Amino acid sequence: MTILLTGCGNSMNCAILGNNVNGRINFGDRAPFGSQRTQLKVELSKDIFATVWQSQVVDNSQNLISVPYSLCADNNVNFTIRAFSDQNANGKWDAGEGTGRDDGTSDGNAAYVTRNIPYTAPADKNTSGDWKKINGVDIWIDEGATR
Amino acid sequence: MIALLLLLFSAGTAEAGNFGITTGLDLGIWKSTFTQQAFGLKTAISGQPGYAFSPNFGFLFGPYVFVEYAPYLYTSSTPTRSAGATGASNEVDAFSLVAFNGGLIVPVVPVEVYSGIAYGNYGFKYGSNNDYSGYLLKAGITYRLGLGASTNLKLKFECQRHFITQDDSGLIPASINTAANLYVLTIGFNFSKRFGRQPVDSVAPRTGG
Repeated sequence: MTILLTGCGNSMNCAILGNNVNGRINFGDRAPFGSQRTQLKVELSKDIFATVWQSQVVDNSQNLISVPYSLCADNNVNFTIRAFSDQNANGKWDAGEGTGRDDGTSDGNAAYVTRNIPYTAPADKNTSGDWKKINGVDIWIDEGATR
Repeated sequence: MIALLLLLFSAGTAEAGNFGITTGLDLGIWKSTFTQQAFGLKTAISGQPGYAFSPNFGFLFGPYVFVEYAPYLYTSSTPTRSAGATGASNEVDAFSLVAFNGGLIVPVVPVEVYSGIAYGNYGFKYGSNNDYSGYLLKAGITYRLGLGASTNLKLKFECQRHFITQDDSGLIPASINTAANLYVLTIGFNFSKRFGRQPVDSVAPRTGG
């Protein structure tokens, strides 16, 4: 396999080797009452959400309490992740919609966990090198007033 | 010692006449219910019915006991799955390559009862598009219609309880109870053959007066 290292971001690598961030969006007992679970959005930022680098809609039409998601994150850069329940399907978070951070807790907002996936391009571009994935990046929908 | 050996030999001879192999293919329909429950929340999905396929191969021990390898493929009622495709959120499918049954052939009546264990996969085709896996226990009853000395037509009903422990992201937290119940109704052909000599009458025929 050939790894394309420049110009395509990490999306080509992820397409070949699989997304490198895997976790679950969970609705716990801190989720705002009546939180809609069927249309979720997970976001990734490289500047602790001064801006959103990428986002992805997570289809949860089965209305699952715990639904897996996966993302493709750039390598060798710090990033943080959060998710929310898009109650009115307008693509953005509105106050009152259930939200949660990748913060290692399930009881409200705590400091974001900053993650970084190192990767060194192999000399032989026909090999994958040491492609790493991080699992268990779980986000609890446990807040509604603030993100 | 000699009496003990004769007893074991005669028993072995009788058992050799009743050891056999069995093989078959079951076709039918299946349906399921899926639940996920935690923190006072519950999701329940009634899966759409689909088609069931299950080959089986096993062994017969004596006149009443059998064990078999019985993998299965339970398909959705819609034929294809593609990323981003839309469809019904309760379209599901399931399969297992590690599935075994053990059971009893009930004497007198043409019925078999069995139970089994497997490790299987259960998945949604659309929406969250998740695949789940875990161990499952199953039990079933078969009505046997003999078509010949070694051929049977079997009508089978089976229930499965799927203890789901993993999804696409790995182990599901123990705090979130995820499970599925599967119900399968199939009809199939089964062929069996028993090996060894049948027990013979040891009394020599009388001759003379």
